[in-house]
Amino acid sequence: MTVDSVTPLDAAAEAWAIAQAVSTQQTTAQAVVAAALERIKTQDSRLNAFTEVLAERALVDAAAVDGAIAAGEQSGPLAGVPFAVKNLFDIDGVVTLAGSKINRENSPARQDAAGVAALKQAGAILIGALNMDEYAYGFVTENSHYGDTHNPHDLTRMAGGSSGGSAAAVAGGLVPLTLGSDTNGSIRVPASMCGIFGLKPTYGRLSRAGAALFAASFDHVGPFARSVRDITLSFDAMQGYDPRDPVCTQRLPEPCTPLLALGSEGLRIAVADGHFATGGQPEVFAAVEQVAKALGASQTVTIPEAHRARAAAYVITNSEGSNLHLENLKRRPQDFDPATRDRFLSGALIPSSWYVQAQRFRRWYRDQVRSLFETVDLILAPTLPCVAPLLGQQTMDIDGAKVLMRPNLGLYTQPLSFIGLPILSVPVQQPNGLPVGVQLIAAPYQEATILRAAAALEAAGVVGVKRELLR
Amino acid sequence: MTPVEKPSDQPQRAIAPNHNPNTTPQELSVDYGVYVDQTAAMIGLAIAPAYRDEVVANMQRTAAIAQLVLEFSIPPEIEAAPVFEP
Repeated sequence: MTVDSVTPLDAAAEAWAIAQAVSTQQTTAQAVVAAALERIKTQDSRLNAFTEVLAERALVDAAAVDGAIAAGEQSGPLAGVPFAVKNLFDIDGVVTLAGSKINRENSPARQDAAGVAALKQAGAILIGALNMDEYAYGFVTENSHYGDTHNPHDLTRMAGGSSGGSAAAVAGGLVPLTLGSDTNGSIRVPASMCGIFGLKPTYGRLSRAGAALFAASFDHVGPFARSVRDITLSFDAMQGYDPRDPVCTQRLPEPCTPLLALGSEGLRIAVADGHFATGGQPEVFAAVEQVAKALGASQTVTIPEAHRARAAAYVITNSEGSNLHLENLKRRPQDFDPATRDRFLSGALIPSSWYVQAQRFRRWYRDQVRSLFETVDLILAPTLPCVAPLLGQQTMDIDGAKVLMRPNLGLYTQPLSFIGLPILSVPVQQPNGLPVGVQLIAAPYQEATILRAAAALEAAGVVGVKRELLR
Repeated sequence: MTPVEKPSDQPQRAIAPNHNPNTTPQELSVDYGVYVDQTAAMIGLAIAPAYRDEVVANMQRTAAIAQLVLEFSIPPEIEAAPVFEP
């Protein structure tokens, strides 16, 4: 199937194309949403991406978009685009689960999270909430309360996490656009495993208001999509200061969509060596090389003390996450997912010296990495040390040795979200294998640099989704 | 000023034998079971026997990870970057 033969109602339709067709009345938002709901109905049983489908409400919202367009009102850049969100985002009138059983007892949210509201404002139609690791503490979306999310490339494999439902829903063609959150890699890891684009913007760039926190020092929200254009459109729609999020930047929005055509011309690009060039399976380094070659990057750069950055990120995450849930850990530990419970209990006991030292190290490390961006604009690194593991897999082979799988999934993502750098995980498809993600990393607030390079890679056919999955 | 007496019930194993600032928790042979029990009690967190072994194992793993941060010398002028705005 070629891109040209895709209709707005197809699983392969991208958000920008749907919006164009809906805005020009070649189709209706109602038809697009009905088609997405039908795909979810018939196909989600094998993926288990959705935990809630808001069919009735979505069709009402779609009718409102169609009505506004018919009345000659200006349509938004995402008019009629069906989207869904990780179930830690507040949805007005729906209980925010954050992957837990405990939160089921909470009252329904009374307003949409900032990201949800921004996408709706741009004309997009919310159609549901998506599975995740409990309280975002995991990279696997093997959830004891809501089941495992399966990878559309191979249903016996994991979709990654913690935003696993968000990645699987996009990769499997259920919706063209979803939102997730990333604290140590929870957008980039599932994007890599599922072979799609996942953007973790600069820390504080997009409002987290109404998204359940995990470890506030590192929590980010961001989009998943099947094209650079869709990622960029949704990122642009969500930019802007929000006083409800205490870390939200007051910088003015800087729309990136108009800059995509600039490509990678003039960018200084380097491949991360050291920590980011060891500890992975050969295909992940081959994918980085492929991307580097396409971008003409021949230099390397050393991100210093990345292994310590990862350690510090672990200590801070464990401590902050546990403190957030301390009351429930005391009252009802039996209701936590066994996959998170012991880590949360232990994290509540971390000495303050460890935590404070890790926070001070973060500042030191930020200064070091900032100075690297005086000589490079873009850094390339693998997203994961491996392709998507089998569901339930415990170990993996690295350099001939068996290592534990779960603790190693954040090897290359954790040291970077630690200091809030903007990063896009781009999908490299292997001819007879599973997809591999490559991180495009820039200086704070330089999302445009990343998206320009990604657009060039996409145009050259180096990165992109596997269209055969989209039926 | 009255000199502060060292508490007599301080576990011996928690005192650095030679005051070496680079001594690791492993070298001090920290008893993580005791640590978990005591600090959990201090914050009012009851850890069920069924969970305790894994919590202790997690604490031990985190200690090994934290060591990478603790052993790294940071200049005193390096302040954490808070976002709190009064």
